[in-house]
Order: sequence, then structure tokens, then C-alpha cells
Amino acid sequence: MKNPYAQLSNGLCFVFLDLSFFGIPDILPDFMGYLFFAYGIYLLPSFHNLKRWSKNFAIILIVVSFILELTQWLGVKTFWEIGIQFIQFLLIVFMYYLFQLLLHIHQEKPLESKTFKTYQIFMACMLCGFVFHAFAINIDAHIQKTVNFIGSLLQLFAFILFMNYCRASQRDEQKMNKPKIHSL
Amino acid sequence: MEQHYNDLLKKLKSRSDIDPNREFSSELRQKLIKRQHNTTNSSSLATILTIPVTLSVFVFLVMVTTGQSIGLKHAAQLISDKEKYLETTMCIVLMFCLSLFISFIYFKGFTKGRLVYLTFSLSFIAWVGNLIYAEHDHKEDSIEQSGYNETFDNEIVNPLMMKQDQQQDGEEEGQ
Repeated sequence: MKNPYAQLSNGLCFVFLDLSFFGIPDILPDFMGYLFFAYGIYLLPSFHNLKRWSKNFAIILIVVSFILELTQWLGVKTFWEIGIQFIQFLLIVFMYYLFQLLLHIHQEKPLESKTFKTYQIFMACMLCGFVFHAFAINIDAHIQKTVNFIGSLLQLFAFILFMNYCRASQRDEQKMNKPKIHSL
Repeated sequence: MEQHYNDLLKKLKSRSDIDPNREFSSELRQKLIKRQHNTTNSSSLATILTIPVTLSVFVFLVMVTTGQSIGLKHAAQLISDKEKYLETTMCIVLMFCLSLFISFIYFKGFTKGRLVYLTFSLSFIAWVGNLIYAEHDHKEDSIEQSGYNETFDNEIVNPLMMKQDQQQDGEEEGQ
């Protein structure tokens, strides 16, 4: 069986990494990332309503991000810049629901405290980063770069934290699925 | 005498044994419960927050689609450099306050409830507000710049012209 946490980490990789910043065409489009998210949520072992909601949310984000990519390819700049920030906000809300689901799955299990700590730091860093980017629009040019840099740094930290959490969950799941060999 | 006691006993028996304090307290409790019930129904935090968020989204959408501006800029227009500095400081203070509030909510360990939704709505309001303000600021700046070009650019303030004048003056003095 495929590991859901690997799909989730792949999803965040696709959403976060934008190669167009380095002058390379973006071969990791965001909608593919949300596709990975939807598949990862589908694989998660739960029958809670949150699973259905977050999966539907991921599907909505696939459509929205695909439209945004389309506007970028067509060269509609104003809609693209506003849309990028709007989808960033939607991603934070989506991650909140995803963490609610993960907290429900890991309730009274070894990774419960790690899930909770990751949730706390991830959400705080992502929202603070978003607020920093939002206020950077109206701040003087010489401070603007610093504020934007701090915001990006906070979001990068949240990304690394989620990757680390996914790796730990992946290892835990592999350990659980490993067939136990009884000694003779 | 005996008859008097009998009458008194009858009166005591017929007395409606009401404790005024108890009655008052129960009435008060009922009132309080009713009031609490009413307040939770009529104006909860969710409804208070939903209205401005929805309004701001609508205003923003109207602005983006029609390209029109709202006359809010005049109220918050800042003229001198000192006021510009104050504006930047206010922006930074607000940003840090909001970030601190968000950090406090999540590090306190809230996973659900009003406060968590408040962090989302406040950050969204901050983003929409900043976009609207930036839109107005940009328009104001472009108007100011066009006025400046018409009046002064070709006569006195153009630094290239001033440099040329100075060079000509120096050559004349040298001759």
C-alpha cells in the first residue's frame, strides 16, 4: 500500500517550490501538488467527516490553482499576483483542516504530541508569514525587502517542519506495517 | 387565651409560605438566563466577524472587476514626511501585534473555537485592507507625479538641466 504521508510531503513540495524564481520553467505546478494532497488524504486511515471535507477542499484548490496557472500562461498579471496571495491564504486554511484530521487520526497514539507541536508551529509560522507579506505591500521600499524576507523565512521553516513530520509519520507507519517475525 | 392561640395557629397554617429572597433569586436567575440566551443568539463573535469580512471581500471584488476607487484615501491622506514615517511605524506595529496575537493563540494550544477562526479572519482582513490601501496610494502617487512633471520638470528641478547650467557657467567663468 502507498504511504499517505509521502503523498502529503510531495504535495507540499509541489506547492512550495517555484522554479520560475530561478529562471527555470516551473515544472512543479501547484495543481499537481493539490492532486497529491487529495490522493494522500484519500489514503489516510480514517472515516471521519474531516477526511471528506479536506479532500473536497483539495479538489477545489486543484481547480483554482489550475485557473491561476492558466492566467499566468496567458499573461494576465494583475489577477495572477492577487490570486497567488489568495491561494496562499486558502492553503493555510486547508492545512488547518488537514491538521485537524491528522490530530484525529493520531489521537492517543505515539505521534500525537509530535502532530500537535507541528500543528502549533506550522500554523503560527504560516499565518505570521502571510501577515508579514500582507503588510509589506504598504511599507517603505528599504524595509519592504526585509519584511518580505522574514515572511518567506517563516514559511520556509513551516515547510521544513511539515516535511520532518511527514518523514517521522512515514517511518512510524512502515514500522507498524512491518510483519513481525517470531523467534523459534 | 386558648382561642387566641388557635386563631394564630390557623393563620400560620393558612399563610402562604413564601421566602421572598428565594423568589427574587430565582426570578433574577431566570432573567439572567434569558438575557444570556438572547445575547448568544443575536450577536455572537462569528456574526460580528462575518459581516465585515464579507463586506470587505465584496468591496475588493467590485474594485478589482470595475477598476473604480472608493473615496477613503482622503480621510487617511498623509502629507508631510513625518506623517509618512508615522504611517510606516503604524503598519509595523499593527503587523507585530497581529503576529503576536496569532503566535499566542497557537502556542496556547487552541485547535478549535472562536479564537482560531479570529486569527484567520484578522489576517484575511489585514491582507484585503492592505491591498485596498495600496491601490489608493498608488493612484494618489501617480496623480502627484503627473502634476509634478507638468509644472517643474522642464524648468528648475530637472537635475540634468541643472548640471548642464552649472557646466556652462563654469566654462564662461574660465573664459
